[in-house]
Amino acid sequence: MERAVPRPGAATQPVDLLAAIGRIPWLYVLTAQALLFLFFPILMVMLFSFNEGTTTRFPIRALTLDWYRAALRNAVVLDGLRNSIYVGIGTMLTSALLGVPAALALTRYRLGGRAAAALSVFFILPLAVPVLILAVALLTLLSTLALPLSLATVVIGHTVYCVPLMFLVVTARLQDMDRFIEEAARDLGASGWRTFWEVTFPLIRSSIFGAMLLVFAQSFDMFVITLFTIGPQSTLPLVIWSMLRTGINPSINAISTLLILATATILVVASRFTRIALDV
Amino acid sequence: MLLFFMAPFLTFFTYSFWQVSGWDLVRQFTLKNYVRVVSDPIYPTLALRSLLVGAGAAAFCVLIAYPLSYVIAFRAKRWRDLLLYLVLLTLFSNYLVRIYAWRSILSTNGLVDIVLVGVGLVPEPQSYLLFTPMGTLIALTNVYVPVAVLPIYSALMNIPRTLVAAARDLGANPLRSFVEVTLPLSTPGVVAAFTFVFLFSTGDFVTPELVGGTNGSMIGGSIQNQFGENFNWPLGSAIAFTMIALMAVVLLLLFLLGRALGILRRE
Repeated sequence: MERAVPRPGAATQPVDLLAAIGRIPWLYVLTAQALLFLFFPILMVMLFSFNEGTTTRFPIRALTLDWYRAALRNAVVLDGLRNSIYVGIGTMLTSALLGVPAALALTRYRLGGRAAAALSVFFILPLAVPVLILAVALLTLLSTLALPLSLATVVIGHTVYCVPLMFLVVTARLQDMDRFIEEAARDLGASGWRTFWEVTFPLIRSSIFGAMLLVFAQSFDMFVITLFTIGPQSTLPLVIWSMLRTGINPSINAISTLLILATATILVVASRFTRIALDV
Repeated sequence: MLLFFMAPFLTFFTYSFWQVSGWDLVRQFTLKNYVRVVSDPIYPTLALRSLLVGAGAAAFCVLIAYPLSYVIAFRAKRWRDLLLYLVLLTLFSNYLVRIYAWRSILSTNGLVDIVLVGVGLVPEPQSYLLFTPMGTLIALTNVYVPVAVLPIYSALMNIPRTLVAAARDLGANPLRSFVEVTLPLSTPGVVAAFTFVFLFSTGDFVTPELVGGTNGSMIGGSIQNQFGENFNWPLGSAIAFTMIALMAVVLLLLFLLGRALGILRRE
């Protein structure tokens, strides 16, 4: 590395400056910036949910809880919340019913590496498609099948998107697990079914539960698929969407803050039950 | 699952060869929709803008996500779980909310404006960013950074620590061991991150709608319109499939370019 040559008269200042620049932990500065950028919008929403004024502008003059009161008294919001909870629970159950057997089949049957890999890719494919395209594709299918759009069709739509998550978390757990435990149970004379219920299932139970919570969180916040697969009802994200389109309503900040806190809580609980699979 | 995932796409694809007359769907093979997508000047413009904004968002996301993932993977130690949790929180927290927040941040007299005026970069409050493709780009980048962090983090975690240590022992300085060992080994993660963000942001319609305005509208908006107000599903499907093909072509070209430049290697 070349050293900066101190210019006459400028003393050693340039060298010190360069050294100082070199000493700044750039990696951490970049990380802090990335996190700040990530959380910036969320923090803004939280901050303005307490702002007394009706505009989302600085300066903030006074703090209030009025928007929370308004949101919690709004019948449309509460109705949307109820529908979101129904859909979330439905999606959670159907995703578990489809995702867990798929994960078991792919890790437990000797499929051969390539076939298993191909099938795994297939299972996570819905995550790799722009969600708008997935949503309109679902809509064309539902209409071809002449299924009336309702909360049930929303559950179908969310399930297509959430099964991969369920599958990934449970697969990761099954792969970490010691296979000899299952083989020991079989050697001791347990049937395949009994081995599953008495050995495998208790070991993966908490992962399944954690994954179900993640699916709930995902379904609860899902907007695009809901927009295209829902009937006359509305879920919470749709309520927010229509509020956004009809003009700025400061209650949105309060509702959003509550939603973010709910998601944060669900994630904390979910992470106690499962290591969230990141190694796809 | 086969039924669940393939059936919608097959129906969707079939629709693109049908047409509507009045409010009725005519189930008769035609290429009219595709011809219209190519010949109507609006769609190529929107498609080009979507691809550019999508590629831009993907590039920015990778640039922001890489150092973050690197710190989480190699430096964070006991903070790792907390940092991962924060990234997942933004991934799972409501996407509408995060986009909507940008609307106020970017608006006239919004925070960005106040800062720009305060620093003296612009003379008076003015909406430079809201309802422009640039605003869309900023919001999309913000929304999809967590999507980019996960594959990059996962690729970094899969690098055997001993390899990096060996490079250091053989006399490489930290920068050199990063450029010659860590970076090449993490390219699959970077490629995955770029691909995901590119696909998601090119096809996004909510962000352009909320922060892009008419100057920043993208192809997703016209797909949504055909399935909503205009009620021309066949045309909407044709736009969507043309777009999927274009995205595939762009990714393939980028991949080939990467290989030609020697950045990507054959597995």
